[in-house]
Amino acid sequence: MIETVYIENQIKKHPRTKKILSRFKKKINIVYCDHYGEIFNIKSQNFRIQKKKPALILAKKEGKKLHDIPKTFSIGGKKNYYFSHMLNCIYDCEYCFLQGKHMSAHYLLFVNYEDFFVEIKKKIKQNCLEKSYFFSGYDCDSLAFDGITNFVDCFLPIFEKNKNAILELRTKSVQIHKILKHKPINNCIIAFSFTPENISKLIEHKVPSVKKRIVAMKKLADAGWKVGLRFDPIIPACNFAKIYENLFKDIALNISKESVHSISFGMMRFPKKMFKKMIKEYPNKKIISLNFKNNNGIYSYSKEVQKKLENIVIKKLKKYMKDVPIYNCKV
Amino acid sequence: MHKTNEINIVVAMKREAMPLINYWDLKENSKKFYSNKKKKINLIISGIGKKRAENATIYLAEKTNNNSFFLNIGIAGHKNYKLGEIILISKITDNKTKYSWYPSLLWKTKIKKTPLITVGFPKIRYTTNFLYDMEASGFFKGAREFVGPEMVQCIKIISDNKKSSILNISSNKIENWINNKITIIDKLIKEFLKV
Repeated sequence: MIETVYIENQIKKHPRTKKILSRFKKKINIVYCDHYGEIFNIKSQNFRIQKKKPALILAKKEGKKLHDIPKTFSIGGKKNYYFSHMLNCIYDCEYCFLQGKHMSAHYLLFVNYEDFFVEIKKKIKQNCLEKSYFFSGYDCDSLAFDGITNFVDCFLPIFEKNKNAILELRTKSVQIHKILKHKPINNCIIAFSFTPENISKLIEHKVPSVKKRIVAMKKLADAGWKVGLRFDPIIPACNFAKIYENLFKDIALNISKESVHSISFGMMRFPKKMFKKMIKEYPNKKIISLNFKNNNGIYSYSKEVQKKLENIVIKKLKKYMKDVPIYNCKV
Repeated sequence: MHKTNEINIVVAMKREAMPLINYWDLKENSKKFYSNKKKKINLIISGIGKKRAENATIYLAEKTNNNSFFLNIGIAGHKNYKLGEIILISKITDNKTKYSWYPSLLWKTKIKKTPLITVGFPKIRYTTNFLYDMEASGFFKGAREFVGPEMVQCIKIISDNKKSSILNISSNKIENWINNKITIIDKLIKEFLKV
């Protein structure tokens, strides 16, 4: 529940700022600031304390809006970019890199969507000979905060008009009603992230259950939307092969493979600095007990464990999702 | 996660401090420095002005535990707010440097939240909708050297407004205003320490 909204002075009269504020039913405390960094980027903030009651910061995104994605993280395209209209997430997954990436747990929302549209369209034009892939959901959950951000209604029309671009909305949310109001377009993928239910319950705090996410995904698939399956991070656990197989099986029973655009998976991985910060912020994390190795500055499972997990995942996925493209997100 | 052990309170004047000293049964440790070890409350009387507030806050921080919570309590003016009204400060701006601090507002409270400007001299004209005081920016500057924004807060009680200027403030009135709000302050402190 948001109780405090910080607003940059330069966007206090922005129409989207006014609309966002009108969506809060309860009285909120509004504080104006010159730049979001005065709140978001200051030193010695306690991420865990703030996470208990994060504030919302409304700001203007300056500078570059699109960022390149490593080729190994693609889902079939050569031109891949991610963009973040928002930083931080309403969920609290213990493995989430956001808690090591930002100083603050407050939700930072950039209201100047139109500036994102300009860059997206420019990139599409630049890459007119091939498809451009745009990924949302790296620095926030694409849908979880849609009731406030209205992200879907604003961004989908850009892709409805630009078929040479693919949009991936990555989410763990079941907030799909706004998408369902739109006619399905085949250049938008609603990509759902999963870990097996028993792992999710333990370490994906506040996230809707796997069952609810599968139901939401089914509704979208039935309505004609393309969905994506994202198993990133893969988490080693007791009965690894069995629990992952059960998860793939549950999904396959509900979603026809024709509706699945792609599958991707990846091991848990953190740059050294981020890993150290996460341990410091949250020393009781369950994931700390996993045996992380430093592989050239990236903390992940040992090469042997990675190979073993990869083989199991690919084998089981092929069993239940035959012919669906599978991508291994390697660093 | 931090484990808060103590609360460090900075107050400018003895008249503001007396009701708090009496309520929490604080004992004088050294000149202008009071504490109740059982209740884990420390209080210092800084004197008027932001530099004094900053120095007193640093003194208190160096004397006490690393994970202490810092609170500034005092009087302040506002154009329209009623005399004696209690306010939780949402933003502190130093009038001279224009630097601002934003204490995290994590607390379950119905107390009104308003920004504040710290000025070098008493403010007679209220040109904004902010509160005006003479210590908070110094207090924040000092406290934030030691702890994060979740651990520093500021509570003000309205002492003057456009109908009743600073010239009408008296020692008795200050004591009465603080006394009238002391149970709310005590409750709020308990909320702060839940962090």
